[in-house]
Amino acid sequence: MRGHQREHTSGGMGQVTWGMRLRLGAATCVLLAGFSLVCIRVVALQWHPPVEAETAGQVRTDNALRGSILDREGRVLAFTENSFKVGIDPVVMKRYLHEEYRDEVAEADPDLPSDQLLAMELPEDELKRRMSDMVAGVAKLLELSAEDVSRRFWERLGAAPGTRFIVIDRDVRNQRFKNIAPLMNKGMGLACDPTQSWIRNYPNHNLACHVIGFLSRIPSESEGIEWAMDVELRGRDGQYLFFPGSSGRNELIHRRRIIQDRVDGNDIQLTIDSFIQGVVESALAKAAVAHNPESITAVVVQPKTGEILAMANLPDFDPNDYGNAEADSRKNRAVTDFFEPGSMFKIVPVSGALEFGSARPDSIYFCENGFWTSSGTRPLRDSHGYGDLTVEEIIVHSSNIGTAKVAIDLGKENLFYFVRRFGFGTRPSIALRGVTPGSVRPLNDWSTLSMTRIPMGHEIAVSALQMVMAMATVANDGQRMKPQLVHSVRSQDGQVLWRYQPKVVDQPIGPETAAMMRRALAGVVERGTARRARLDGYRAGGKTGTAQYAENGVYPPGLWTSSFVGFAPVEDPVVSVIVVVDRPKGDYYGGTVAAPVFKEITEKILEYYQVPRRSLAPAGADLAGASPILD
Amino acid sequence: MFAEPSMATSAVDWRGTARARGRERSEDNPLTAPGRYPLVPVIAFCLFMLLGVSLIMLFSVEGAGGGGSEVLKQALFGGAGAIGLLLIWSVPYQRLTKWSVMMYLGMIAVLVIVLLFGVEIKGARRWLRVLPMFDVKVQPSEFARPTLILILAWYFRRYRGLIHRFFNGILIPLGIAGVLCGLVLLERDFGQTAFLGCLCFGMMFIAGSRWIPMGSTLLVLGVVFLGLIMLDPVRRGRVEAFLQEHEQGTVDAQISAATNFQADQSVLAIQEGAILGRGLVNGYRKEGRFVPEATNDFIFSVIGEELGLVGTLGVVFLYGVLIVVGTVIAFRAPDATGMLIASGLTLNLGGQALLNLLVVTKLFVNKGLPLPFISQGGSNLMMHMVCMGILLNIYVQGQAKRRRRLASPLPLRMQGEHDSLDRAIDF
Repeated sequence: MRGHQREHTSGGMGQVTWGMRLRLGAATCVLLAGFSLVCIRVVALQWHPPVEAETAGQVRTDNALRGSILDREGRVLAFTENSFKVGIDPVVMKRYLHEEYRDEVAEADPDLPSDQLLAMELPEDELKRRMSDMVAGVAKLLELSAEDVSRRFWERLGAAPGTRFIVIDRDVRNQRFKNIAPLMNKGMGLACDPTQSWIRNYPNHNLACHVIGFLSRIPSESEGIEWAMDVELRGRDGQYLFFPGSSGRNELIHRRRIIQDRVDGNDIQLTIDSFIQGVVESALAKAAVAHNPESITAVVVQPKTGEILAMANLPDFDPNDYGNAEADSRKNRAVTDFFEPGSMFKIVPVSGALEFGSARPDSIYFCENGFWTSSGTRPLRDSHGYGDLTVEEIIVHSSNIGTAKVAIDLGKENLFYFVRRFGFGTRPSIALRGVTPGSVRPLNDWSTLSMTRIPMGHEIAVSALQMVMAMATVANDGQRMKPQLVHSVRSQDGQVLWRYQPKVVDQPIGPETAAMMRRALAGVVERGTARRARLDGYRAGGKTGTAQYAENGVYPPGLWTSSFVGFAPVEDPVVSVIVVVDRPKGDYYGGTVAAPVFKEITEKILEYYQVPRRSLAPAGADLAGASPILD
Repeated sequence: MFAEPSMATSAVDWRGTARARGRERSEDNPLTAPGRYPLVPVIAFCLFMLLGVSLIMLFSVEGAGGGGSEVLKQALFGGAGAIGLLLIWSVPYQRLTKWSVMMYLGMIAVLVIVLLFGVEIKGARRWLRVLPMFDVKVQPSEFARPTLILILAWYFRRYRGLIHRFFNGILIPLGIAGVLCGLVLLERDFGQTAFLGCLCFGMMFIAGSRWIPMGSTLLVLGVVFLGLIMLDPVRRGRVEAFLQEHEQGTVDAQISAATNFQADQSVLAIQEGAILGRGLVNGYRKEGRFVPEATNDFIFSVIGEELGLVGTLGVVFLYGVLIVVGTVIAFRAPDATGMLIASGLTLNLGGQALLNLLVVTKLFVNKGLPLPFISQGGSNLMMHMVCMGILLNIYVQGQAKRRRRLASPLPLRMQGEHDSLDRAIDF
């Protein structure tokens, strides 16, 4: 209103008034404010880094190559191989065939002008025929039925004429891939999907299956080394942005932008020797046929280093087909199961007493002629009645009464102390899943019966691994080594990233005690309960065990755990071996069931290690007349 | 063409100090010194930069796949636009205002022709096929805006004394704009329609219509227009998606994400560009389906991705300079007509650029308006070039008049208010 009046007073109507300028200025300021807002916005946007995946290309995983599992000699126990999806791009294939046709024409008629030549195309039916030929050729290279492949190809092409990728086979590996590889990406329309799908392969099938375990689709359900060393094996998956629908300039090589590079997993070299593992497994298989037990377990350890050379259980399974294996056969009983060791355990109280000084190897104990009712209601029996026995003889003849008296002299607290220091009741630190600590009752839970039962390996439960490590302690001058399954970790290019160093966990007994024990244990094999474990040309030491099998707190009659744990050669132990036969049918003495298995395994290992033989009388010379000696 | 009027011969300076000051000012001030048009190189610089960015970005987006044919087309349009600019520059705007009624009627005719014989693309009938052999399509509705500006300027100039009346000051201009709006709306071009309406109100505001009736009319029309938008499910969805925040994972959120897809992509592209950008041709969001309309409405986000903050802020700065220059030209226009035309053209350019930028940076509802000078599209480019021509003409005449007045023997305040119309046509 005001503006209008002023314009009239100021005369002419064409003049630019200050009112107009003011209003234009206001409008311009609004515009400039808007532009400033845009500037602020553009700058402020940089403070929030974009979330790539939200609406852009798909984020895809570039699966890392999982490391291999090798044995100590570098033989492959498990590896991962690539599997390709092979398919055909019909558009490119047609183009290729047209080109080919033009070449043929040009060869036949070199004078043809090039523009005419370029316009030439294969007739439709001829094109179809040639395409069929090519598809059939691909099928042949892939070792597939040509008819099937052709039929599917034409079906798919008919359903979607513009399609750029028709899958021929989703899982092409090894030789089949090598057949087809030279034809890839040659402009012929044959291509493989670059997306990797790795497949785990266990070339030795059942060999060392419990140690290797298997790789489950659900990582937490894997087993064995595959589970325990997963962090090293799996590497780090890469990520890339995948852009479908970009132009087909490069046939089937889609645009991708790497967000994170993939890092392949490391190789794991085990301490397992597949030769020894094979020896052990075949020996177990033989014993399984002979005694038809519920299960058999054997572990071979190097006493000086604690390296596990073999670890085998029956029943076993094929990791390539773990899905169809029963849960029972997938158990690595050597570490997950515990059992009452029986007389094998006598090495603990006796070496404890020798170490502590409550007994000497030549101390004499009266063995009550096989029947002793001193402690409580239930009498303690020996299988044979003995009178006076030295401590060494107690071990050799495996006298329960003698061992109990040695342990009583040692004392309750000291026995518990040695039991724990030999590693019982403690979870062995080993790279496997479900490792059991066994079962050692705390001291204040011990009953009056315990002091006579624990020394002979009842009321206590151990795993095979714990027992063999205890024996290895005796064999290794009393030094208890850390059991070791992983020898080294290597990167894909062969560099050693980590190497096992032998580690002394504890020293429960001194070297002298250990030497005395070894002499006694050699006596067990030479003239005691384990004469069937005598080796051909080597001196071995060991201890048998025959325990009643406990089930739900009672001992069902006729069920036994027969076992033998030993080492060889006595002079300088190279291996320590345990064989546990769970509930054998028929014979059940550790000396008759487990000791021969020990003999078979150990002899072969010593031969394999080329340990020189001693000239001894061949084993079994006086075995024919030997009556079964009970322990 | 724009000959300098001969300086008054004044041997004796009897005009006193005020006159002396004026002289001083005239010669020392680079903006008003004789023979100087300092804003012309500024405008030229801005236009060259914007067109250069446009061609480079188009090449970057299309070059790899399309072999540059689109770039060539755009360059040809730019060249044609430049010729148009020079031609229009040489035509005094007073003549254009004289013809504006004819132009207005012609515009209506053309829009009707488009509605009858136009080419339909993406459900909108906006294009006329001009040179079928070169596949050249023209979008005549783009030229509705300069036409509206010219006829409104003519109208306000003519009925300036009655502008305070509701009928003459508001209803008639709205009617003039309404016809064009209606026709453009029939082409299903909501953005263009709303922009024409805004332009009309902007001109009314600057010309001096009364505020309260104008405000209430704007309110009523705004509500009506919103109603129209809400009737159209697609546009209603856009508005709702923009306004509402949904919880993650709900169906509503998915719909919202799908609707906001373009703007989201655009924002992501700008973010990924960071400060220096990925470099030309390296942007990947433009490919395929990520930033749709990469050469058109959303070219700014491609600039953001490939040239980074440097590119985006630079472009915004160029527009800012053009807006300021346009405002200065309007301030110094020789008469009210020129002033109104210049303001309208400034609002036209600035408003369109601003709306586009707001949409691309996800500050405003998705609305299809190209970025002036940069987006692909010949019609829009031609229109803006022509507008710049008109603006330049106003500038040159304004400068001339200023100089003439400063050179006049009469003191400024005694020169009186005179209409430049008759004299301007003569020189």
